[in-house]
Amino acid sequence: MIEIQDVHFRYPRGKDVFEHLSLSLLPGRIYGLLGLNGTGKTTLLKLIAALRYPAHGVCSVSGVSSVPRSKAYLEQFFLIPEECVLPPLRVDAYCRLYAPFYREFSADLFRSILGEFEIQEQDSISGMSFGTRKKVLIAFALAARTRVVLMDEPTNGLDIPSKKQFRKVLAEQISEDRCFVISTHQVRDLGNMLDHLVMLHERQILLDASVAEIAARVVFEETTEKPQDEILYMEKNFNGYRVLRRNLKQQETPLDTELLFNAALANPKEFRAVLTSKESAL
Amino acid sequence: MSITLFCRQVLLVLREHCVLNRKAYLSYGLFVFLFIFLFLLGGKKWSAEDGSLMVGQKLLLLFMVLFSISESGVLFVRHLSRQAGNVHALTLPVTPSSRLCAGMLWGGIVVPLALSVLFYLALTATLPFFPEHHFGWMSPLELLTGGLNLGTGLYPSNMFFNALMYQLLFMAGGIYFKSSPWIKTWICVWVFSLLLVGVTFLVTPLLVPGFSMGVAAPGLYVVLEHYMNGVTMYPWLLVSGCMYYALAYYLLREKQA
Repeated sequence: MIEIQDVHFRYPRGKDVFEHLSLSLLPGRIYGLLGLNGTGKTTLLKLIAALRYPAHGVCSVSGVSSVPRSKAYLEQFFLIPEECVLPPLRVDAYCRLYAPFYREFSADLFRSILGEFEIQEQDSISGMSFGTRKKVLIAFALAARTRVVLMDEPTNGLDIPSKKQFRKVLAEQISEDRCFVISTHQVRDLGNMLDHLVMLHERQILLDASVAEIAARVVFEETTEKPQDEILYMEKNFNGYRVLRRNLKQQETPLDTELLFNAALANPKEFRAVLTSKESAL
Repeated sequence: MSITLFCRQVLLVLREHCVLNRKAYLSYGLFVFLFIFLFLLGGKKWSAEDGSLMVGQKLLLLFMVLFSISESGVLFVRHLSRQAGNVHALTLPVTPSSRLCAGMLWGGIVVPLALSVLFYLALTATLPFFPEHHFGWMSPLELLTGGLNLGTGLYPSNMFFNALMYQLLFMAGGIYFKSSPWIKTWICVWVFSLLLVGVTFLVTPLLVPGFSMGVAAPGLYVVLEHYMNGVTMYPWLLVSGCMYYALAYYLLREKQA
C-alpha cells in the first residue's frame, strides 16, 4: 500500500534525515512509528503526505507517486498532525465545508464518533480545548474513510477517558483495506492496538517487524532477582527487573513496547541481529 | 479529470476561502465603502470648477485603491499563514490546477467586481448630496468594464485594469502556493506573474485599439515612458507584491519548519 523506496531526505541547510530508507506498509494493519526525538518520525509522515518531497527515491501509495501532489494521491490519505489547527467554525460547519472534498466521507460515522467523544455538532471549535479539537479532527479523519490514516502523536492532549475512547473508535475502523500509521512516544496509550512496529534510528529503519514476529523472537519477563543467565536487555524497576530474552522455548508473552524500544536503542546491532536471525522459530 | 469534477473542485476551494474569511472580507468591504463615500463627500469642496478631480483628490483616490488591493493582499497572506498551520487544508485532495483556477477567479474576477460594486454604491450614495455630481452619469456596466476612469482624466485611466491584473496574479499565486509549499514554486509563480504582466502590458496596446494607455502609439518605449511617469501604481504594486510574497513565504516557512 505505502511504498518508500530508497528515500534520501534532508532539510535545507540541515543534516540528512534519511539515507536509503526503504519501507513497505501493508493494508489491514496499524503501524506504530517509534523513534527518539529528531529521528524523523514526523518527517516520514510529511513525506508520505507529500508535504515534503524526497531528494532521492520514491514515496507512493497504491502505486501513485507523491510527486506531483496529484488529487489521486492526496485523496488516499488523511494526516492528523500533532499540532491541531482548525478554523473557528462550528463542528457541523467544519464538516459541511470539508466533507465534500472526500468522496467516501460518511456523515453518519462522523456523528457517531463525535458521540463517542461526547462532542456536540453545534459546538464552536474556537472555544474548544486542544484535546477536544484533536478529537474533532480524529473523528473527521476516520469518517473520511481514506485508505491511509497518518497520525502524529494522536493521544497528545487527550485525557485518560479520551484515550480509551480513541482506542475504541480506532479499533472499530480497522479493516482489511485500510492502513493506519501512528507516530507516537506514548506507546502505553495505544495498549496492544499496534500490530506492526517501525523504529527509526540514525537515518535508517532499526526495526520493521510485526508484533507476531517480535513475539516469536523475544520474550518479555519481570523478575525480582537479577538474572544471571544470558539476556538481551534488562531494566531495573520498583519491583525488580524487566528483562528481554531470546525466545528459545517458543513462549508467548505480551509485548512490552517500551522495553523493546529501550533494548533496541541500547544495542542496535545485536537487536537487529536477533530480529533477523533464523534461529528462532516464527 | 472531467470538467464537472474540475469545476466542483474550483467551487469547493472558493467556498473554503469565502467561509474561512467571510468576516474579514465583510469588514474590509464596509471600510472601503465608507472610505470612498466620505472621501467623495468631503472632496467636493476641492474639486475644480469643471468637476474634475484635483491632484490631491487623485492622490487620495490612488491611495484608496492601493490600500484596497494591499488590504486584500494582507488578508490573503493571513489566510495563507493560517493555512500553513492547518495541515488538513494543505493536504486536501485538490489538484493544483483547481487551486490556480480558483485563485484566478477569486483574484481576477470576484474581488475586482466586488470592489467595483462597492465603488459604485459609494458613488451613488453621494448623489443625494450633490445632484449635479460629476459621477452621476456612470453606469454600473461602465464601472464593471471600464474601471475607475471617473471621466476626469485621472491618469492613467486604466487603474482598474492594473488592479485587476495584479489581483489576479497575486491571488492565483497565493492559492497555487497553498498546494505546493516550496520555494521553487514560489519563485516560478512570481516569475510567471512578472512575465504575464510584462507581456500583457506590452501586447495589449498593440492588440486592443483605443486601449486607454494614455497615448496612442504602441511599443515598449511608450509603455516604459508611460510607467516611468511615476503616476501609475504599477511599480508600487510590483514592490508591494514582492513584499507580500516574501512575507507569506516567511510565515509559511516558519510554520512548516
